[in-house]
Amino acid sequence: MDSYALWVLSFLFLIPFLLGVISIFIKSFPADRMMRVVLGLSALAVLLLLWGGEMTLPVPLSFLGEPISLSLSTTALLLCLFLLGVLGVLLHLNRGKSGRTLSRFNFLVLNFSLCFGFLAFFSNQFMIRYIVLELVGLLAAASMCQSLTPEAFKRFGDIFLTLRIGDICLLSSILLILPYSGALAIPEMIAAAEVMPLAQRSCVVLGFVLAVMVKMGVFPFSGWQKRARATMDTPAFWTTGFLMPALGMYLLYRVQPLIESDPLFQVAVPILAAGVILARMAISYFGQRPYERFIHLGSVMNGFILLMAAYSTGHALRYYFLGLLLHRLGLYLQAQEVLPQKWGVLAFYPVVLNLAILVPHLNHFPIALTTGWVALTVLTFFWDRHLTTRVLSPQTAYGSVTRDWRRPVAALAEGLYQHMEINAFSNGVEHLAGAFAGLVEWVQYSVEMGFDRAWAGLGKLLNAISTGGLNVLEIGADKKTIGWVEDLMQSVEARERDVQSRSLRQDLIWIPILMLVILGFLSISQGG
Amino acid sequence: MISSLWLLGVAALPLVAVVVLLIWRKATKLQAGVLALVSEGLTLLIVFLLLPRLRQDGAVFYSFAWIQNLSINFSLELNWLSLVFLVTEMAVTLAAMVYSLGENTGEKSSNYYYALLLLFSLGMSGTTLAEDVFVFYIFWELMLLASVLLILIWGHGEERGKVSLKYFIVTHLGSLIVLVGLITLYVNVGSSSLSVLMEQAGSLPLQMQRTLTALFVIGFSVKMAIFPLHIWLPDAHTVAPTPVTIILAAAMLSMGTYGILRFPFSLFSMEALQPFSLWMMITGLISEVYGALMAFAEKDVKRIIAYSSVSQMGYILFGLGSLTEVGMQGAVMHVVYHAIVKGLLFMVVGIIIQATQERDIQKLGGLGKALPAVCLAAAVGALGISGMPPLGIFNSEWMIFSGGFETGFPAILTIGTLLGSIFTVIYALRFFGAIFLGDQRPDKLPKKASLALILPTVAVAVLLLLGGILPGPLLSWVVRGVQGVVGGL
Amino acid sequence: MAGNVSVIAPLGILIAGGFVIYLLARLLNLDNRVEAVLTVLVLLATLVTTWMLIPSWFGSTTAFFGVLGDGGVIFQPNVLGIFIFLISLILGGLVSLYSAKSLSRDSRYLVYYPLILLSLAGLLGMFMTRDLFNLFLLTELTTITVSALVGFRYHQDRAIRAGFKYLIMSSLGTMIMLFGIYLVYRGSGALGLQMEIPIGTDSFSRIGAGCFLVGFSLKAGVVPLHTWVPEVYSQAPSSVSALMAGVISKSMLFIIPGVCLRLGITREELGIFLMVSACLNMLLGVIRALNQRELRRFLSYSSIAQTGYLMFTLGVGIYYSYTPAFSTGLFLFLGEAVMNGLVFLSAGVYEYHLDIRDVQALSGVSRKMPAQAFCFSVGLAGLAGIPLLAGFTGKWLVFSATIAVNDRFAWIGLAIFLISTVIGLAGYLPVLAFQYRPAENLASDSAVGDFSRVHVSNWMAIPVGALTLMVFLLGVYPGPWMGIIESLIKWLAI
Repeated sequence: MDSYALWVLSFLFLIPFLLGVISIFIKSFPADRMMRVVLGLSALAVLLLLWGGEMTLPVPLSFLGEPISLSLSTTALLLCLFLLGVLGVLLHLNRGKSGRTLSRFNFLVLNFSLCFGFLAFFSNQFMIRYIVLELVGLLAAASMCQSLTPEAFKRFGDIFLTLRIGDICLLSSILLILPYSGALAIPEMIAAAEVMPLAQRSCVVLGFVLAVMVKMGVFPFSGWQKRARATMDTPAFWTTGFLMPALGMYLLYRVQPLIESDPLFQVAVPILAAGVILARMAISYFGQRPYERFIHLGSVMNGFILLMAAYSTGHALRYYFLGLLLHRLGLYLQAQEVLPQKWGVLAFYPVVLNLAILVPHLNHFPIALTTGWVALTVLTFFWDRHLTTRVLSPQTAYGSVTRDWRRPVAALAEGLYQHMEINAFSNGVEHLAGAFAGLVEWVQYSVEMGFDRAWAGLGKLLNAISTGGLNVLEIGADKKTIGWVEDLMQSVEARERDVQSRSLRQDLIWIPILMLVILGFLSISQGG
Repeated sequence: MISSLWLLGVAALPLVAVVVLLIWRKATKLQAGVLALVSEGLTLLIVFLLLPRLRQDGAVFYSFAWIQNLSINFSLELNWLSLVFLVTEMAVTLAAMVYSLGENTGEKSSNYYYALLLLFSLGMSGTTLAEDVFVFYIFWELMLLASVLLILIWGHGEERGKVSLKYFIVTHLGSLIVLVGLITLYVNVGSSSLSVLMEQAGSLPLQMQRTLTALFVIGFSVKMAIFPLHIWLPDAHTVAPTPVTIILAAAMLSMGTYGILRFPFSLFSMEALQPFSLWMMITGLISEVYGALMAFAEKDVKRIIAYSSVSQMGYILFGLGSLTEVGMQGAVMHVVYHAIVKGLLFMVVGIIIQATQERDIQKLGGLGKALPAVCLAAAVGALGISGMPPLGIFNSEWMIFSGGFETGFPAILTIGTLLGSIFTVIYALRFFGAIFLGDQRPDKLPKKASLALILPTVAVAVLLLLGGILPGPLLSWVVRGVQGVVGGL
Repeated sequence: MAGNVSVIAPLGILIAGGFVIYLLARLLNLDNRVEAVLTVLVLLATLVTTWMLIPSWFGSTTAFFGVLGDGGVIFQPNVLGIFIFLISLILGGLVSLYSAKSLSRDSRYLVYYPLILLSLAGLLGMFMTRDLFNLFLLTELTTITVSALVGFRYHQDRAIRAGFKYLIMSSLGTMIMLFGIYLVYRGSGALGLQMEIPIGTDSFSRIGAGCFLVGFSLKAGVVPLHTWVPEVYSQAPSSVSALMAGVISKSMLFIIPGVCLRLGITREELGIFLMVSACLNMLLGVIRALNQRELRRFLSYSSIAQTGYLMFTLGVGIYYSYTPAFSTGLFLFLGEAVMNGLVFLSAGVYEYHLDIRDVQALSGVSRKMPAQAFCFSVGLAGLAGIPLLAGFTGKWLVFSATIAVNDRFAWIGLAIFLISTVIGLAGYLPVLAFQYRPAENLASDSAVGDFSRVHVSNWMAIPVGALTLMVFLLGVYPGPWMGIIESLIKWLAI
């Protein structure tokens, strides 16, 4: 059974990889057809593995001296299967919509993503997982380079950097555990991490959570998803829009026991989740930018995963992942106008999904979490409804909004006047909401668009620091040194001219002076 | 006995070639270059032929009495640690020599040019093989002298005289600090042999060990171009001809790492080294970030890569400073991978400069279409230096970080180093994007990029990939080499 | 008279040789080259007689020649003197050979060679004499002969001025020594310098010792009495500069301990004086050498710094009573004699064949005189302390000696030594590099002009080549020399 599974896995990894490599060298490569073949074969392979059941397979290879194993969990296999289905949909859309054939570039990106994605799902060693996650991240960023324009490269850079930050958080956690586990196998590492001192364990958990948030595109790390939307019309979007978030989900799945290992984490992570969900909702709600359902709602829904991860629910997490990915697919189809914009099913879907998960597991979750979850679910529903139906005025296009920061203050002042002069109670709530709206609007301007400005500003700041550093510490210091040396040379030259024009008397005077010095020294030392 | 003589051949063969070149004044560039290549290639072959003996005995040794009054012998030793550095510098020199055949330096006085390149390489080889501190210092200075002459005579621009003087004086100052340390060891232990020093230096008074460690670390850090002792590097790398820059950046900088491993780390006890651990790690972190920021700020393409060396050396110092086995292994591996990637990047830069006659990054752009192979090689180099798996530097970086976490110091230090690697990504992306994407600038390339330059560049890019995917052989050497150091701690 | 006549045979040969050569040259109208060869023969004879007598001197502290008793004058050799004298003889021989060509444009070579011989005789006598007054006389002999040699080219104002300056300053120095003799005689009633027996430790003797210290410091070029050095070394014939910078001035440093320690100055006092003055010499020498336009002035300041290195080593040896430092001092003396001799003779070659006196004018000179440029480069590199040359071995030994004593003052001195070495590099390297400037970068004031090769006369090339070889030998194979020095040092009684 093991060897059969190993063969299937090898097939699963190698076929996309080799075909991707081959496509580089053959100009008239039938990318479309081959992609369907790969899809079909991969799906078949995954089904076969599912049928084989869960197992851990040792592989006759090692990584830096440590043996490698693969873990075939039902969760991973189901996710893979689902993702393959999504890919099929995207490919169909690509061909169907405009009759476009799959380009060799997209074929390459997709096949390599498949190969490394599968590896990431099935790897039972953290370092291998890290490596392939980096590679998938690179591919996700590379998918922006449909054309080699500077703008495309900028998107590449932004996505690559953001995902890199997530990977660094992941690597930090892995390396923090390593001295305790002594091995890189995931089960051993998790087990070792569970008994680490709390302070270090907190760092590890924080690292993992941040990595998960980056990969899933949870606020405030959703910026890269926005940049990725530039390729939404191409099949390569699968890598950024679906594969990467799914990998984030599965990472969370594997490290979930750590979150459960201490009550502190079981409180902190849901609070964090609630915080990012609310922040995301507030910014979108009070902001004046167009509501992009796929990005914003997708980000919010991914935040819900963190709520669930605090408490073990058997296989429910797996189904929640699948449910969310399905929702994500629906949002995508809506964005691509395949599904109607006001399709009610999609609107109620998150509520149904959350309740479907929550209700059977009420005993698992503390009442506070359950209450919060329900509240957030309801809030999400109304928030989504509101934003879907909201009509924005023309001048509030994305990126061109300028807000007067005094407006919240003015609104508050107006509210107070109304309260004091007119009827405080009837107008009070409305004015309070307005003041709050203004405040959040300011936050949105500063934070949301501020992220974009901060991102650009960070670049400028970096530029300023490094250029300033270069001018002061390098060029300036060099100039100062050169100036000092030149001054020294000039003084030496001047001194030399003095010496050459000096009369003999001036030289001879040193003889009695030295005599006196020596005699003085001798008398002092004798006296001593 | 025969293999001992072969070890002498590693030093003697390049000398013979140097003498031949000095006599053969009418040699063309091709003739001189081929002779130098053959000599270097044969020397490298000798080293590989010594591997079985090395595996069997753990070391290959050669010695003869030299200055008996001072108990100084001309001794050479090949061990696992020196093997890594020796093969690295020889391979880099070979690549640089091949590259130089397609480049336009050394068209006149080619025999002297290649003779000096061989002497430069000999200096580095001798440094790694020296088993006597006197011999070590002689080769150390030979390395410096040869490189100074190469920059002075074949460097670019009117400023090369001043730059080579600055380079010489600053690095010589570092060498003198090392010399004080070496002689102090010699005087107090009563022997200049490294084997004897390894046995007895550990029993010197603790204060003396610490003082010597400080001297060695500072002295060798000058060679490594660690902030703020890096002041010689940007100008020297910029003014030197590209093949010399390749050797400077890819091989010579690593000699400082070798020095730190060979002297304080191999000789003294952990108790003596421990106080320096945190400072070395902090300095490494600062160097890493500083170098990256300067690389980001720079507009000259050569200086960008030069500053990146400052940054990468920071990683190495960080790894060494962790005083953990995995950290030191990572540092040594980083030396090798850095040599490959730095050689690659300078080769790319050399091609760009030759093809466009331009060095300002703001005046370059869109060269991806005109130079596709170079673009691909540059992409590999940029990803490589960013630490992207499966390219080699990732392997060494995570080992360095792992070593950092193993120390008892707050994890924030290593996390800071990890986060600092973001700056590397930033300048690497900027370097690649600004040069190869967008509208082509200049519109027409004044010169064609020679195949003799492109081929070795692509070959090194492939080597970087292979080195990352198959790190096993290198790792086994490094593990054995570092064991010899850690065993003494 | 008592004792062994062979003790003063070398001295006698030198003095007699000087007069005989002058007479022969005068009467027979000898050519410059013939006179040079005769001088070399005399020096060879002196060398041979000295070597033949060494076995009877080693191990013997009683061999002497002179008049015993009060008012008597005794010549008694010591190993230090032998060693320094042998080096002086060799360098003197090479300088004489060199002068066979370098003086070919001068008419007054008749007196030149006798003066060389007499100055060397004075030097030998200074080491052999055991009497203070005799010491004064022989010092005066050296002073006068050297002054005449410095002002040899009397038709040049600057040469006359330099000779005059040296004469006045040195004479003043020897006058102070004479005053010192008076004080010693007043205090102790004796003027004899016996081995290991101090004359006296009373105040007068100590002041007298101070006078001798001033006098010999002036002759050695110790800061602040060094001001004659740049003038003299740049204006004297290059062969004379080579001899002075190489042996004459530096050998004065070895007389200082022999005299002063026997006149009541303690080791600690003398050691401190030497170390502190050394620091001044080292720093001033290298700093002032920077940016020098005239080549020989540059080399003069370099020589001042070299004197500092030697003083530092001797100071360490005396202050800490550390014998290996004396070996180092002797090795340094040998190395500096060879290197200074080489660089000054090389500068003379450039002056003679290309009329080059300025550093800048050296641009591209390697194309006209590649071998000469190489030799000069070796000399400069040696002075800079580049490995495998004499200077590096000396540096290694100085470091070893200083580190071995492991004292605060020694470490400070070593730090200054290091700093001066580094600054010195900034001076040596550009001069070295100037010779190899590519043709397209030649300055307009380059004296090279066309690049046709210039043949250097063998009379000059052989001494320069021999010194270059010596610089290499002392660097690559210093063992035999160190062995000789170590065997000598056993007999050193300071």
